[in-house]
Amino acid sequence: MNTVRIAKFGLIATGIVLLGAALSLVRYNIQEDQQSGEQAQALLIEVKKEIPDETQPTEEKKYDLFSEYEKETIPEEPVLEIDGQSYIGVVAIPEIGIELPVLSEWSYPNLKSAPCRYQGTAYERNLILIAHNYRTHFGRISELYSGSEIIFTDAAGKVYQYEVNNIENIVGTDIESMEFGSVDGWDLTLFTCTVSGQSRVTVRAVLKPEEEP
Amino acid sequence: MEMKIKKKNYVSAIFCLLCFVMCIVSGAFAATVNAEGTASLTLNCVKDGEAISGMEWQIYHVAEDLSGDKPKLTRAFEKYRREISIGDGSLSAMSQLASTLKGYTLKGKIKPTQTAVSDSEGKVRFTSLEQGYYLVSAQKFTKDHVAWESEPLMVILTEEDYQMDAFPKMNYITLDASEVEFTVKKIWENDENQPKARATYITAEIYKDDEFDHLIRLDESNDWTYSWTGDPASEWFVVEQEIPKDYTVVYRKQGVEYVIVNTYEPGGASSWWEGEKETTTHETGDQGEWTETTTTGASGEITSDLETTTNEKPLNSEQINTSTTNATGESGSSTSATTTTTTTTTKTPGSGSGSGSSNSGGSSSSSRYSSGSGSSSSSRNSSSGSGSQSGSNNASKIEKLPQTGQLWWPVVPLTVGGILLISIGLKLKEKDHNA
Repeated sequence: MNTVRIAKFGLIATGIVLLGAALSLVRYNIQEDQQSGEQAQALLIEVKKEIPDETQPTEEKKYDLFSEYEKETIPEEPVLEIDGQSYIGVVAIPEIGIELPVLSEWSYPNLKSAPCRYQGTAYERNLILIAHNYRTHFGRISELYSGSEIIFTDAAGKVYQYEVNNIENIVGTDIESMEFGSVDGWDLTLFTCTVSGQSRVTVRAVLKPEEEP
Repeated sequence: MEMKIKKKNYVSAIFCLLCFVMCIVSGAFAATVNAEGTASLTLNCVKDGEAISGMEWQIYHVAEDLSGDKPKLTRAFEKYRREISIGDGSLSAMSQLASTLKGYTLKGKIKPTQTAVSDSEGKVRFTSLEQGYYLVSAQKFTKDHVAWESEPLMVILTEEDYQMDAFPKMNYITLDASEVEFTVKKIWENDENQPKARATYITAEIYKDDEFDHLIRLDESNDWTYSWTGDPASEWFVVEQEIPKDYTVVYRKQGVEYVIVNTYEPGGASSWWEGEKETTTHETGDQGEWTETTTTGASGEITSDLETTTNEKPLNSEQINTSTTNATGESGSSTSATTTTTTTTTKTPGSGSGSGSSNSGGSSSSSRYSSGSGSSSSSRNSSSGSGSQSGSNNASKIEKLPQTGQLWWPVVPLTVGGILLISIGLKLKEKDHNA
């Protein structure tokens, strides 16, 4: 009688603890999501302030003899330095209502505040962006479909317009698949974890025809 | 008397015969001389169908003795051998070589082998030339408020009965300003890892109409750049006074821009004509004909102050059409000696010709494309490289794509577990009551 009571009490108490844990985890996740979203929006304002409105028509520059010897400086990627962090631009996906700054280097602390570059560059057409699956970050990219628009504006104000051409799940260990295909398969890749964390939701996109160089 | 007349007739007959033989022999001699290497070059100074007459051209014999793999620089140019960067024998390298050699003719006061002026048809004829490498350059000249110029070019005369027809690119500048600003920039190449090699400053000579005008100093403080104003109708050229040790030099000019490129090449210039570098050879077609583009695509482009007009058909105007006469027929059935010379012929301008004519159609776009695909293919290589690593290497199995998920998965087991435990607990209570 006494032992049954103790067991009963124990079971209910543990159950409540488990439910409590679940609840607080949910609360924590939601809070983290919101905080990261707010942080990213604050950064976005800073970054957008620094990005020039339009690309200056510097590319129309006349050919001259001197410029032939300045080749090395041309391919340098524009980067914005704000509060000790480097940003390569802004990514916007109207379909799921997000617009976020993109950090130049990925790290777990960086991912908490904004999407990051995993590797590549926009002008080389092999840019891979990584972000947390917060709903305010890339949590909803699995809702995209072929033809969805993705806009990346680099730190110099150059706008790259992409459309989604493929969405796949890649196992977390399959680095090769993530990086493969940039030659003719895609120009931009976004990825984030699935809910289970085992796979990565991977969105591939190509430059819109008029954007192709 | 009769005898005398007969004798006279006899003598005159012998004389006639002698003359006849002499004629034949001399004719044969002339033919032999002709066959032994009198080459000629005809330049056609034409712009948009209009012949440009009165333009003075110089031709300089740069290298001779093409029998072996290594043409020999002529005496006038020999002392600059280690400084002159010949490049890879490509079209643009040949164009740069011509421009650089032009600088040396000024610096070394080298006299031209021949000088000729374009006639009413715009033709400039150089005859009785030996085989060899030639620099051909024009004197800038003014006619009706228009200054005409043409870039220096390299010509290679190889075959014995070789006759070359060249169409140099003609540029004109409308002289609407009495003074124009010119700029020279010094470029250092290939010495990024040689901090000690680079000189702290260089001096350069500016020439006006082939005469020394003034001396300049280029260093870091003026960003290795110097500008001066001068008469646009004059021909200006900048030559480095002393080539830094272990460097080679290239002079280039375009519009009002000049560059002096010093490339770090310890041990002196290595060049294809010394057999140190491989050349791309190009077989001529059956007709033994090839074309050579003498100028880079960029040439003839303009500057802010000068109005230069380039040809509507830059391709045609840049082309040098060369045609062999006898070589055509002989090339198939020639002796081994002839074959060697034929290869030399094709080696130099011919190598340019193939690539030149095929590229010229869409040179810029195709090269850009290939460079683009090149870079991306390299990225693919790197990715496939890492892929093979992950396949073969155990350590790389630990490598994962970054974890970007929130901790959502425990929520479900926690909730289910909690509900389960509570409901079991509640059931126990019921059992207790029932008992």
